[in-house]
Amino acid sequence: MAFLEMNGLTLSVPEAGRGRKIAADQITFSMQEGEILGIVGESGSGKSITALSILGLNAEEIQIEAGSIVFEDDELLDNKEKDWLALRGSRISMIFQEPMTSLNPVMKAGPQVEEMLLLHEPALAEEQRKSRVLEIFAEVGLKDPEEVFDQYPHRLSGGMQQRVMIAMAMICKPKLLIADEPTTALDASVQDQILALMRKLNESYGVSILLISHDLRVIHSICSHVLVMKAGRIVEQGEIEAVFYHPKETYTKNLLAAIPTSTEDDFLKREQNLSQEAEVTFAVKDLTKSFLIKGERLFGPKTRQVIFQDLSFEVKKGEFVGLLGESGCGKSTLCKCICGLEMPDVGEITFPQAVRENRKPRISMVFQNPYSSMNPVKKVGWILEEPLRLSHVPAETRSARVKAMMEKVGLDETFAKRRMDQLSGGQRQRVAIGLALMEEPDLVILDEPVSALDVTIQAQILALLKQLKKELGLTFLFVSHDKNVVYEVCDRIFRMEEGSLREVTGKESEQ
Amino acid sequence: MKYVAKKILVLFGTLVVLSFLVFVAFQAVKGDAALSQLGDNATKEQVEALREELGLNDFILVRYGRWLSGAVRGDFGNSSNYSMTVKELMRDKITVTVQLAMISLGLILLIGLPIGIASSGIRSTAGDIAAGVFNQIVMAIPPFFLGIFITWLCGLVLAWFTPGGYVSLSENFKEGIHFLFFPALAIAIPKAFMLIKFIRDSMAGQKSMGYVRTARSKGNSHGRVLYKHMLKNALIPVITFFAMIVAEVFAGSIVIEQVFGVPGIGRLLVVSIANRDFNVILAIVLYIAVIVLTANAVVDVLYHILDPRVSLE
Repeated sequence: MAFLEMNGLTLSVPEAGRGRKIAADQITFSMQEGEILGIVGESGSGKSITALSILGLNAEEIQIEAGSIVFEDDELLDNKEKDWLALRGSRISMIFQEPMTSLNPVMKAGPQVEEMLLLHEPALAEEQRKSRVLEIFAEVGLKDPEEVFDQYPHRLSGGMQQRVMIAMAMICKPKLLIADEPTTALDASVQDQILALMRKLNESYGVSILLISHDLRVIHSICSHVLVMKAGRIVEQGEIEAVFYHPKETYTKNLLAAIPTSTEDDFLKREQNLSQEAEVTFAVKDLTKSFLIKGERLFGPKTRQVIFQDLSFEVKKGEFVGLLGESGCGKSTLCKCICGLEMPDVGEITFPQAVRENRKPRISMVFQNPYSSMNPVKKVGWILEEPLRLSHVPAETRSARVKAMMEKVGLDETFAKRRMDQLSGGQRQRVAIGLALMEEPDLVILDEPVSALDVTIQAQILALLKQLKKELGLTFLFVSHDKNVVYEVCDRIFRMEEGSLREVTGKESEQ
Repeated sequence: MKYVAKKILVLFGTLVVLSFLVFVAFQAVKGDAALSQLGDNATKEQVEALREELGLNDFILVRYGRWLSGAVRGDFGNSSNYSMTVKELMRDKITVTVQLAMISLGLILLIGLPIGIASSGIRSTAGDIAAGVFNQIVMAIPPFFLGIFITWLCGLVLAWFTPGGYVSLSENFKEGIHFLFFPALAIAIPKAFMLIKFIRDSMAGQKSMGYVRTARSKGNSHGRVLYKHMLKNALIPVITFFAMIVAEVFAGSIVIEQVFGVPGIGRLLVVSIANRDFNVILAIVLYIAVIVLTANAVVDVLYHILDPRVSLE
């Protein structure tokens, strides 16, 4: 008898017109106790709704058409409301992608975890509950449990928030933990810590883990078995090594091929197509930036926090420059200084060509999430035309230029008549790139432009960027925390750590 | 402390600027206190003499300075319409309006909060639509109509109170409540239902939040998710809305005070504008400004208390 057995589960969602669409089709798999099973698939593959149906947590509009889910001999789909309440949190618990939004913002961290005990072990006295919470906080690697107990979630870092979520999920010692993209919103180094913690809990508590992720590297690092999902179906399943090294299906092969795997060595060995032109796009000289931080006490003195100090570097025309660093290392502040959104304390940034032509430098940006940075009620054509309208380009030439740009970024011209919400993530990012290139910028800053995309789409966007750079001789500053991606596409790489910048050259002691 | 000092400074700054603007605005209005005191039959010479006596012919900055120096000492001048000082006149009227406002606010909260919270827990589609439609209907009733309706039903048909009469609370508490309750009800009903709608919308907005899903995944019942998790989050934006209601109610309802014959600020304002009773109008404008600004400051503090993410700076 399997520990968890899903048999022919079929789920449907309402479609934009009328009628319903199958979102998960005949999902059948089983899981043994103590196993870490991964479900991998791109967005819209049905992996999340499949997992949520194990806890009966899907939105009301998602209907179960057929199938069964048996967990420890109980048929979950026959559950009444009170059976679900007894099951959730105590026997099966769950953690989510965004720890910040998954925690109640107006409730302190401790009481949120304590609530689990209130619900499932009501016999415990208050002091016992608190000591249990402090115990599990220590267990999940929170350094100062007493202090975290009384903190509101927004005072904790992303990694700490996810640890609180894991503490909450584990405090009643469940048999199964469902983790829906638990590391996607976290920094690379924190990701590894959280995955290590999950592996440790699996070993010490024997908790089985169902890990959902779009990131094959995450799945590969801790899972023993994996399901590959595509468009609501399982296309391949099996032991992790077999699926990873000997994939049978084309889809799995493509998925694996799209993962950026370049390492620092690959980058150093690769022939750099460094720009032959001697012209400098921009030069940063002795740049220092600090912020005043409010003191601890009400009228206490303000302290000065240095973000970075004495940075100097040059970027030449046509270079694809990578900027690597964890969040909080100062890379966003550096970008803001380059754009002129922040004034540096000391130092200067010059764009020689702009100085020569006696104009302001033209710098454009592409963000991680293009959807939230563009007007949702306007059509793509209107959005792309906007910079031209603002610089008084005559109406006749505007639409021609928009059309040409859409072709360059690989969008069919019919897209001009659509709104952003009618596009997929990759298409939206193409619009954002097109918009950034509309006015022949001196420099394009790409701020985590592919981090939110599925691997296959990510590969397409990276290819597009490389091609555009070559065709148009653009200069890119690519900001990312994803090393593999940066090693794969960039000509030069700077690494930012604690406010200092170091170029990756293979030789030690640079900068 | 710093915060309070800053707010008080802003309050006084606003009052000075506002009073000056009202002063200037009144230059554009035809007729003045001299004209309305003497009536239509007065000769030009008589009016001119009175103007000179009242100091109405002085340069505007001189007059404003004179008024301001009195105002900071608590002297807002005399009413040209009633033969008493503005201060005395306002004191009585504000008392009445504040009493009316307190009862109205009590009723708004008493009706609005429980119904708003309870109705946002409705899970059936039909029930939800029914609640929404009823809500829209009540919100759409104009206050004057509601006032007339309540006067007719409770005053004439059921004879629970005498329409048009008024007894002050300090004279006879029981009788006084009788006269204030019904106008308060007429003020409260439309606003209570706006509050209900606002709470419902705010709660509905919380439903798709991540923390709600987390709360459900912990095994919280529907009711516990609603009251222990969503309510506090949903009430944060409601505070701003409620502060707007508070400011409106304390400013005195012109229509309702007129319909029920309650001698409050709202009625005084109407009478004073008709008579160009400039000093009184100015005092009322300042009173309303104080109410609005205080309500806003209280909102800021409440935000800080309810939402740990907001800091008072």
